[in-house]
Amino acid sequence: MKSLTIKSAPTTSSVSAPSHAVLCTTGETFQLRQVHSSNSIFLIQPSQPNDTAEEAFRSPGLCTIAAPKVTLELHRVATSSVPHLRKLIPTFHVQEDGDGDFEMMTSWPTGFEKRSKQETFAHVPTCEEECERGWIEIVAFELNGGSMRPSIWALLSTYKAILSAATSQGIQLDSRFPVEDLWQMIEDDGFPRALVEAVLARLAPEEHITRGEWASIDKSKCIPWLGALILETEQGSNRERFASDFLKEWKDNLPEAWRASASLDFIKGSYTLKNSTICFYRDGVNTTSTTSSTSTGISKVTSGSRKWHEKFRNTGK
Amino acid sequence: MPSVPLHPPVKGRGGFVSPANPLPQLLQTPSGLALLELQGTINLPPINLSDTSDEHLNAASLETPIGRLVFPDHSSTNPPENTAWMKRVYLYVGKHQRLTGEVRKLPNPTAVIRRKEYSQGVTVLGEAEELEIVEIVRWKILFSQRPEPVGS
Repeated sequence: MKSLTIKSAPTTSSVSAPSHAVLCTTGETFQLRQVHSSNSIFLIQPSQPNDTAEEAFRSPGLCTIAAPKVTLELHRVATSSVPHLRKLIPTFHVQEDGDGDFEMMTSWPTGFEKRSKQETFAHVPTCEEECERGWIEIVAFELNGGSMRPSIWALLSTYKAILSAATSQGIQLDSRFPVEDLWQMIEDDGFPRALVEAVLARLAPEEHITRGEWASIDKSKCIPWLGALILETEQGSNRERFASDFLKEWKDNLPEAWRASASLDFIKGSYTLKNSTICFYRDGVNTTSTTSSTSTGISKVTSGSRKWHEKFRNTGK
Repeated sequence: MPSVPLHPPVKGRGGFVSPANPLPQLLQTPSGLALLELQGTINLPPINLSDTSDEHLNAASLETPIGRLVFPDHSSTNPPENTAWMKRVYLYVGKHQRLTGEVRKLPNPTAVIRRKEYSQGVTVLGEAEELEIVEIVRWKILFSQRPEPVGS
């Protein structure tokens, strides 16, 4: 039987809520809550008859071995590991120069402790399975013994490299293909292989997510994921973008056969449309319901839609 | 800390030789641990260590007798499905007080945990600290009423 673990986020971390200690099984997370009782609680155990005691206490008796003042209650919780992982894992950057060459980040970023995947998980207060799910969701990977997660640009470049390698090799991405065939084409660009494999894992069909010699990409996961990714690259740029242009870029970066499937419906809740320009928001940005300045357009925002990545997960299934 | 292993109970726990368990079968656990809860506190006389010569200074001689725990309606010959005895438990404290309580099922089974002990010769790396579940207790003896005076 695999043992249980009590975990907590590092005390310096200030991820949204105050951090609690949790008890984790492989697949479930329980929050630990301290419960004080006004009653006295005694933990008792049979004790050896005591020869020196009074007559009445020479028969087998009971003895208090502890009087706990506090007990811990377990409450099953479903916490996402993603915010914790984002906090702990530094971003991996890829820069593309004008000639189509890539420059990879080489030094470890300051301010981040170098932790392997398992060491990172030890600092995330969720169960192992949830850590693993979040790890795949944010496309994290290990590089030189440390954990990294790609920036949106690094992700997009890696994805594009995979796509162009597949196109030139005649690989059908939604059928099973040898990773090696793909890798040979990408290797020279300098992408870390672990990153390429992490992208493949992120887009793999649910039933064979395990990394290995073979891979395939789930079309129904890939299309919304890419749409959201491209939309995310718009974040921060004040550029107004026509929805039709956005859609074209999206389609251009899909395998030819999938083009027709891209649709704004996949990324509902991640954008607002104002006239026909598209505006991205994430994690509360642009969503303050009280502001009326942006509400003149067609608003597709609903109050429950702030956790955009969870939305994608649903649409991706 | 950020991650501390908590080991599940070892099969055949209670490997230590435990004294005869005077509790009703239902309350017995492999390790012998049980829970007793009472509303209030037990005031103990201060332990005077100078009274005790070294050779008697063991855990047992430091125990302070409190009183007697009595299950008046319990008989080991009762069939297990007979639970009427659980409704009445007495705890005689000292010579003149009696608490009346009952045996109650815990709303959730409760694990008793402790720091894991390592057998000699096992080196623990760094500050690695591990916990283990010693026992899982499902019942408690609860005294929620005020003590009544009784004659000695």
